[in-house]
Amino acid sequence: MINTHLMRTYFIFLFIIFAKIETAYCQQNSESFFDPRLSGRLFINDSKILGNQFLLKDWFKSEIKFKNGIILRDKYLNYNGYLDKFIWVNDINLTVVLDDYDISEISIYTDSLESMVFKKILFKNDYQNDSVPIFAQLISFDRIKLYAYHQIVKDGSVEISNDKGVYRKIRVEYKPIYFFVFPDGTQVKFSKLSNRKIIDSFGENLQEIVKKTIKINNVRIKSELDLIKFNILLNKEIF
Amino acid sequence: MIFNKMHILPFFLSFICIASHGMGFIEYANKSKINSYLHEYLYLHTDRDIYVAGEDIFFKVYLLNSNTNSEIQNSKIAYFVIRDKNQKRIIESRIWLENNNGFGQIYIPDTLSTGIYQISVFTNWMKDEFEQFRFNKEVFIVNRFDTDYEVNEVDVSQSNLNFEMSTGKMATNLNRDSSYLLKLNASSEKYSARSKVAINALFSSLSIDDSIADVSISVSEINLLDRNEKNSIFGKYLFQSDSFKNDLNYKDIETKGIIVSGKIRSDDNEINGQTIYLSTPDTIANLQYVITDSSGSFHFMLSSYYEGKSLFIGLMKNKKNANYNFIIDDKYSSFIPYKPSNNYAKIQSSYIKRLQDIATVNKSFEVKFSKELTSELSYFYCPQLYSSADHSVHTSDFLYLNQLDVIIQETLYGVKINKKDKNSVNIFDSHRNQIYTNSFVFLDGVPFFNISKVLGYGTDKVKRIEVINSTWVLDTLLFNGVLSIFTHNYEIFNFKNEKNQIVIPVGKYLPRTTFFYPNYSSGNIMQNKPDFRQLLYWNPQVKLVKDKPKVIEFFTSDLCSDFLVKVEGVTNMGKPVSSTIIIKVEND
Repeated sequence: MINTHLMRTYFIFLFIIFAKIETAYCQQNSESFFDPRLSGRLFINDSKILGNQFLLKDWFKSEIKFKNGIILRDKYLNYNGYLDKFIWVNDINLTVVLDDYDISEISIYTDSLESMVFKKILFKNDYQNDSVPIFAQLISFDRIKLYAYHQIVKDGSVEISNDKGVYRKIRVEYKPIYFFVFPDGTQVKFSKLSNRKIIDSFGENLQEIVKKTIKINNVRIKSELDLIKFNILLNKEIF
Repeated sequence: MIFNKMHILPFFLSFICIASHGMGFIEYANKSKINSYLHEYLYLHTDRDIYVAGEDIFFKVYLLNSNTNSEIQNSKIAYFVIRDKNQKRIIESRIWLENNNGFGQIYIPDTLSTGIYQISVFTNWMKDEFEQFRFNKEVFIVNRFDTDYEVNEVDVSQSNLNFEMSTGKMATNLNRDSSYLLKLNASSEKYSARSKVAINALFSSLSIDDSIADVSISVSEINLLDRNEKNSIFGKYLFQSDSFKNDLNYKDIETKGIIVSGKIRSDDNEINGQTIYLSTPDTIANLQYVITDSSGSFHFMLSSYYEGKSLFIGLMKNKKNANYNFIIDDKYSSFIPYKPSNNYAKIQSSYIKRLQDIATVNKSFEVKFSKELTSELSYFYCPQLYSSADHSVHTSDFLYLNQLDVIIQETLYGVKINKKDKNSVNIFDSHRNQIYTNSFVFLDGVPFFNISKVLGYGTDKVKRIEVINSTWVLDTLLFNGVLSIFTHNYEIFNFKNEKNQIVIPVGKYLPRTTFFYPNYSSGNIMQNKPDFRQLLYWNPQVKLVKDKPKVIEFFTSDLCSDFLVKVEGVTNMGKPVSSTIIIKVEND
């Protein structure tokens, strides 16, 4: 008899806990009641593309900052370097190519502590006549900012044959472009991580300083991390 | 015995339950606490209490808040209503609150009859059971042409004997809290007509955190009601310091813009779970949507994008046979009736006559004392459905075509109006190699469900057509192809009375205005005009820095009388400050 009574008490306790938690979540949700809604085209994976179009292996919780300062949180995003668009998974699990016209910044939280910050900036690629807005990852922030444009480009096509016939597929490859942005807006871009390529990418007026910075500090740039360290040294040298 | 297996199981389950929601539960506890402490009060400082119909009321609204948690946002909009003793609303307006205050001026229609009116200021939160927290104030309005009005003949000079305020030097400090002091000091006790007055204002505080006081200053001819303590910011603050604490509904706090709310009903039944859109005629397709709750209610928050526009609110799934009613909440409604006090019954008929004469002179000489300030609303968000269309056609690039279906057929690939069902549009999605048979249509940026009614539109009416030829997603809403038709003259307004939609105006915020006062030290300003201003000075945006005296200068008018200098405001820590002095203007 005692056992039955105790069991009933426990279940009532459980019910109250559940009810409280649900109430709590209702309250919290109501705060974001008037947030703007995201929109975009439904993303359909192109079967003609061979290779990975995405920068990250998964969708991560992200923070979206609009031009007017509104911030939307907890949206699941990944960056598609081939489209230069963020792909968003909405609440009904549809993948959507995010319409980023009003968006100025996106932070993807790949870890509870780490985030990748993408900023919308004007960038002129070699094959373009004009600067266009792109989302580039800010990887080092000082007077001189360092960005990585994680583009995924066509790298030829391949023929694939199966039982039904022969198909031509577009092969895509990850080819990031790194660029320094100086306080006056000047951009210095390069795609290969080597001392020589980086020195060459600077104009004549800065080449000597860059050479000196590399030489004095015995810099060997082979990775993104080396590049970040170099940016810190360069900032110290110039400013 | 107690800790046998059967007992451990529920404990274990409850542990899992709490752990899985762990953070949320803690957050709930904090939020609950925050909710119970948030409370808003408003205070209205008007330039005067007695006006003549046709004049302007200069005012500043202060939002005082018992909430000290910076995470909680306050209301950004204050509503302003003037109603008469018959509960008729004479003026309805709203003002944007920047840094918890807003100021402006409101024109009093010159058709109002002489009598007592109530000004009520409130935020959207102050409705239903919270209506009691609205700030109400009575004003007396005199019509220039009224001769038949009820007044008691009381000797004003006798009343003034009891006036408990300082004149001239060393002003009254009404502050009940001795840690905040606001001292006013006039350069003289008596002034002649059109002479310069200098008032020295000194704000001091024992609190380290209080460094600035944001105040408004009025200098107006004194009247009997100025003795009423509830007419000072302290009266309001002290009166409600034992704050009523209650949970609040976030949906009612207008933190970013106006909330438009209402209900949808069908044959007296509330409709829940329906998708309601809100849109406005524009050159872009724009859309917000919400889903009605269990009581059929919906809420939209409008950014400044909608300022002065018309709102089209309707059902996303517009069923032809259904007939729904939209009931939009009246933001200015009040359930507590206004019962006029007898404060103004003491006004002498001679005083009213004098007011009428002054107003007539000002009207005759077209004397105006205000100018509009440029104000920028800090919040702007346009809920456009898409930023760029897949195809866009400008009809001016083509020869004249007299039918919409012909325009579409001739200028757009993959878009067709269904010949059998003239009310549906087919759009071909080339990426998916699929035809959408019932694509969504916008007319002038607004969802439109009767394309058959605009088939007769030619290129003389249609300006531009845009197409999205794929599935477009807005949050969780899917649009299988979108056709947007834009007309030269916003033809959408011809369809205001369509079924299952309602069209309402948004209105505008009151502009921020400032008071202009003549400067008689610089030449011949108003030399040939009489100046019987009862309001000598009004400045709603004065910043007083702690322990740094500030000199406020203005000129007296031709009116010889006693004038009340009233300074009211709040410190940067949200503490009210207030002080008054009286100056006299006499003939030389």
